Amino acid sequence: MTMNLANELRDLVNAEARNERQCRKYLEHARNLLVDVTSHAFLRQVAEYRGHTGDSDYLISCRVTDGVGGQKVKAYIWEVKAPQCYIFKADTQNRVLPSDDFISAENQLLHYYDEARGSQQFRNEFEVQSPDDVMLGGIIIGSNRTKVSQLKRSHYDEPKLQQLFQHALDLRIKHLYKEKNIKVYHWDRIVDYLTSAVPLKPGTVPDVPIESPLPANTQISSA
Amino acid sequence: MVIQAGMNFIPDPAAIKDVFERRLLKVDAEIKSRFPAILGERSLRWITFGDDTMIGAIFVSPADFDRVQSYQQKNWHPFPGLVTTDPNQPAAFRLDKSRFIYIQSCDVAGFSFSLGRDCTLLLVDHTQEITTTEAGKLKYTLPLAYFVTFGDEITPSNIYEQLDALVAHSVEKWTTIEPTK
Repeated sequence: MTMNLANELRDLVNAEARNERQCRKYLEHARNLLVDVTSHAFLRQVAEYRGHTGDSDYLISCRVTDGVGGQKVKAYIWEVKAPQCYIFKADTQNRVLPSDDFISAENQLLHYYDEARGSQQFRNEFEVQSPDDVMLGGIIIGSNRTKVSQLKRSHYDEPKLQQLFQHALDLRIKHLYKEKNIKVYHWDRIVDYLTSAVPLKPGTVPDVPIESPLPANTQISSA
Repeated sequence: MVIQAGMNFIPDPAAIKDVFERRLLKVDAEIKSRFPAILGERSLRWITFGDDTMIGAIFVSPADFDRVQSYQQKNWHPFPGLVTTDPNQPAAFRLDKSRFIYIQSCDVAGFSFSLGRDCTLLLVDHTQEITTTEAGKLKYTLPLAYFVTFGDEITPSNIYEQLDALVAHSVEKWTTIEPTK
């Protein structure tokens, strides 16, 4: 991960024209974010994999330890839309609804996932033994500035927009995505992820004794 | 700093353990050799805490565990001076709406971190010196710690996903070989 990569992607995210394909190239540098386990070998990262129901935008496969001393390969399917796509659109004063691009991404993801799970050819190509090791990855769409498409009749101020966006997304996570481990990221989050440590210099702090109350809900855990 | 009135958030140690097992513990030995040494300890322990403002998970070295336990028995904060969400607390670092902040091998005398909303912070090999009214002058080192604060974007629905992304980011850094210039 380097600062250059993050800056390049940030420029693409802030561009006006749709540039999904250019942005997609940067996902290879965020591969741990696209899988749900730590792998010791990333095997394939493939864009636009041809299927019967359409082309999967991004596939990533990796070898992982299976917890009982063996190894297996898992493949993750991602649907990727441009940073310029809106994620939600205005509905009422107190509710937003998924954009057409978001609904399309969700629908494509489910179709490609279902097809890949049932395809022996897919599993052979990616060296995946079991349909259960074909995984739903998630959706990457939009950016901070395209969270909600506004309407004149229901123009939200910034705090309201953020609140409605997050509530609508949280509901989808809670009731639809969490159980299936589907992730939703916007492109600014990928930029953040690629950003290398910014050198931070500590400021000075007064050398006075502090009172330090116990933190809440403390628990000790062990491996 | 109360994010949502009546939230009463209590962190779920099992959810945090699940993230650590998938990302840090049940991994290939060669990969683990690139992680901070604490993760290779046989008796690995971590402390979790949290409320309506944040969650934290701090790995504790065997040598420091006795100190932590003795502080807890005295009802003292196990990591005094390390982190606060009180914006009025002077601190060496103030972060707000900052994601994937990675701070390594830093020594701080005085309060270390004041965390605002929507932050994710990772500390590696952090040494803290502080004078407290309870324990006087003290110094301790944290081998590894993760913190996530609530805000407009980080909510109870997604906080473990945010922790998961932060841990993935740490793995990305430890396992990616930077190109030589």
